[in-house]
Amino acid sequence: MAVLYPSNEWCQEWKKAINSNEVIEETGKNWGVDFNGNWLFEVTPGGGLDKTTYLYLEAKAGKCSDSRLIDDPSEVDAGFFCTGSYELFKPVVKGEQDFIEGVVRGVFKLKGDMTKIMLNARFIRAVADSLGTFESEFLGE
Amino acid sequence: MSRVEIIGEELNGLGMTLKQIIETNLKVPDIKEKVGRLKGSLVVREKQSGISSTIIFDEGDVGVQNDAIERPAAFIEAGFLELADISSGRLGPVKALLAGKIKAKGNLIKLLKMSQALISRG
Repeated sequence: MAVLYPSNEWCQEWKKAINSNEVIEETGKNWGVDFNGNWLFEVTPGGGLDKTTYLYLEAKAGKCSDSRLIDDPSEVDAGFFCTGSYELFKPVVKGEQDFIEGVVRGVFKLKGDMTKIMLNARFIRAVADSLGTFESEFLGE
Repeated sequence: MSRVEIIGEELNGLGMTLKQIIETNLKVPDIKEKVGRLKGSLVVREKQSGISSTIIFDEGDVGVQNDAIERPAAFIEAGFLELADISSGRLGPVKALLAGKIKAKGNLIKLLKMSQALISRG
């Protein structure tokens, strides 16, 4: 059954998809081990989303321990912050567009230690690819 | 000097990434000294997106700008994962060139020297 992006149910599906993915486990074994590998995604309005929404993803050693929507970004401690519009995140969540390419183009603004991103690029790609492994439904469609 | 200047408009994601990596590397005295001797320009192009950034080395001053300049001293093109492998030190630039994982043009000696600024020592 499709889950609505963004929602807490969707976050739980993403967590499950990450934790059942062997490539993520292998490529991410060093992720977040000696640094803050948690992510905060700021999804800005557009494409059916009417208010800024924050998704929090806790990731360490190739596993996800928490994934949920949050109301206030100051609630969490994230080492990586990514912002982009809902309209632009949709094709990434659908698996139609590469997240890394979006970052390279500057479509998504990413703040955090880029040396860690480069060192763990295959993990980042695998986590992004996991988005297309479960069925999502979208606002405005 | 461990700051890298942004030349022109707000950098694309590739430029921001390169800037941060160089700034991190410039904190290493050995790298800072080597970069301080470099003069020339390096265009880095990410293959899938076609996005380019230019890094300008001017004897200690380093700047990054969007897009490719005409007639850089050296040019490198690679996919993000290959760039990541080089910048993380997992793949040497010479080996990457010989294996056809990256494309390069221009002054290859300068390219190899300038690429040292992009390889993380962490």
